[in-house]
Amino acid sequence: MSEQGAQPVLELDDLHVRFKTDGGLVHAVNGVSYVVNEGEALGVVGESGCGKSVTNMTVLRLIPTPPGEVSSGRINYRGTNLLELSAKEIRKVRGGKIAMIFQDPMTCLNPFLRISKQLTEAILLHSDMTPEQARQRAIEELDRVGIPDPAGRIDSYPHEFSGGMRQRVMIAMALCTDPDLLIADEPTTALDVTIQAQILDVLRRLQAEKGMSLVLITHDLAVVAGMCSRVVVMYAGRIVEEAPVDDLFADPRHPYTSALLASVPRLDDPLGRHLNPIEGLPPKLAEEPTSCAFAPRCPHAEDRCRRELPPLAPDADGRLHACFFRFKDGEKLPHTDGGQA
Amino acid sequence: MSGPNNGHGAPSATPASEHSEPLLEVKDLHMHFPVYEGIVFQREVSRIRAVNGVSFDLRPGETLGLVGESGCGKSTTARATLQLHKPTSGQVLFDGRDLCQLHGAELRAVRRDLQMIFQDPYASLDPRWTVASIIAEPLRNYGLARSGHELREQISELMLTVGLNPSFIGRYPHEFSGGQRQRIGVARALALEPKVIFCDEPVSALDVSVQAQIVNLLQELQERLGLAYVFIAHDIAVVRHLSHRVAIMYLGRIVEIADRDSIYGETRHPYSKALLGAVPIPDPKIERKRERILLEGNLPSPGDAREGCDFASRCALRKRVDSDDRCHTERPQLLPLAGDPTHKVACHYHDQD
Repeated sequence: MSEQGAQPVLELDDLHVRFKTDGGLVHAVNGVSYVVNEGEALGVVGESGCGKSVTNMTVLRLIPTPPGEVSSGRINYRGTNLLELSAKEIRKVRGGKIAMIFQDPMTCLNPFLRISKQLTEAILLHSDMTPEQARQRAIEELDRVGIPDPAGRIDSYPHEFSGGMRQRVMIAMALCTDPDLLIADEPTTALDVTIQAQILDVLRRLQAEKGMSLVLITHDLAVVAGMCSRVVVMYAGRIVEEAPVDDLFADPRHPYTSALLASVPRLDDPLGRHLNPIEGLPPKLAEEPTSCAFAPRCPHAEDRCRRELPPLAPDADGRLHACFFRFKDGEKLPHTDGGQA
Repeated sequence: MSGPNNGHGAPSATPASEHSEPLLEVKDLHMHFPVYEGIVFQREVSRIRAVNGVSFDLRPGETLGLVGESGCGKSTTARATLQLHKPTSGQVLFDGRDLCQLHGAELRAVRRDLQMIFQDPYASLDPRWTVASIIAEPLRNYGLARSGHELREQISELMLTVGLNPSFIGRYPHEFSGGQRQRIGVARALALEPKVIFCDEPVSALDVSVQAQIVNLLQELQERLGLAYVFIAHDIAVVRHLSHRVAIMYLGRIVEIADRDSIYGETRHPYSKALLGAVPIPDPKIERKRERILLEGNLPSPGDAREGCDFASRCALRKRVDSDDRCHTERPQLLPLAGDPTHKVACHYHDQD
């Protein structure tokens, strides 16, 4: 659970990111704000194209510019606006204090270099260790992520590892500089469930051991349920709901969140449960939304939803969601206070 | 499009045809791929045993789910059954004939009844063909395409069946979303009015909100047309949702097969337990409480021939109960449980856990 008064590590404030493409502008991120507290695991959930990866790649300034462009907003890491740092300064943060892991380890590991070289490179860049110390450190880190015989495997090439082991190597690489924030972008999506369980176990353990903050980006609600204390749900480049994990699953407030939960089969479903797909498709983000982007697919949408943009605002009980309406057990509650407290 | 509340739910525990004769019988299917070495004089140095003695049957109107980790041979089983790879040995009995013995025109004739839907709707449709020509291809192949106008009618009807707007008949695959492309693939498979459709990971490439559309479509079509499915997926929750029976594969063999309810309710094989236990559930309260059985190690290589149980090296149960090393010396056969002949398990010690 996110403790009250915990120190924020990362604060995003009204972030807007857009891309210039041949087909015109794409508004990928349209005013995203969230906070990651110390030692906390935040889940960022959404479907492909909802802006969850772009948002978090922008944190480390990994968005190619051009075509990408941060049109406004701030990203504060412990009081420093990362967007104002020079290229040299951001390199100190990237892979140092803030590390990132990706879905496919092969896009992150260099197939031509032994992993010893790749692991020590990061350590040497971010510390004063000698090459020998760095190698020792790398072996410790491989051991911690559960690679058997780390001293014997450290001089292997990436292709000599299986998918799950490669993912562990990437986690070791991310953690060998002692980051205080790890951004994990779909870290287990390409893996089998048994391997996924192993990798999530490693992440859970390391997060507890190191007291590190974690941002877990995923489309898989089940993964979030087991890993995170707080969840942000994104749709069309905006946050539509933010809630502590128990509240989100027990009482989703935004129709998109409810729809997402209703569309996935669960292993513990009662038999005969009907799946409710979300009809239609997510919008193309050619324009910055001026009305609710989910309205065309939303069973509860009214005229107002197609005219106005619902802000992400708290309910009477402090729960944040971006919908004009309140729901109880899937039924729309009578209109009382304009939808927002 | 399937509406949000059109009344069909998960399949009932048993299809109506439970007691009918099997439509398709696969017996001791082996699919080995030789590995060659040498450039001029090639010699076989080893074999990848992708499918290593798989047997199952499929009744009309039934869905058999095939699950397992990547590399366990579930897709190869489907392909070898359809003779897309010629199996090394074994029998595939359909309509009183063994497909493995058929060639050329005879095989083509039987294949009309056995169709396939593929995982990647971006790769399985030719980008230079219109929807009309994609759906009409099987009809043309079998000389069933009628004259221009009638064919168009036929295609429009198929498009309606799978929830596509028939006015898109002249469009190309790139003009459709992933879910719609998968519908085109389904329409193509339905064109010849098959009895069995092999669905190889048909929803894995789709976004979660769209997955449910295709899952519901497949269920609707089954009810309407009495199709039998072999449904392959690594998403175990989806398989549970769709299947009447489920087979769990490990390293080219079925380790457990049973009715959907027993396989999830009374899991017997230690590997099945580990696999099902690893599936996360979208409920934080359950996730916090549950005990995780983490499988150690990785899949052994399918190239090595083993005497005992393939799972023995990773099996927690073996460590506890196998004092005389039976698991490493004697291969467990897939045998029915004493109390339930439809539930089969390949483990010496399945009753000791």
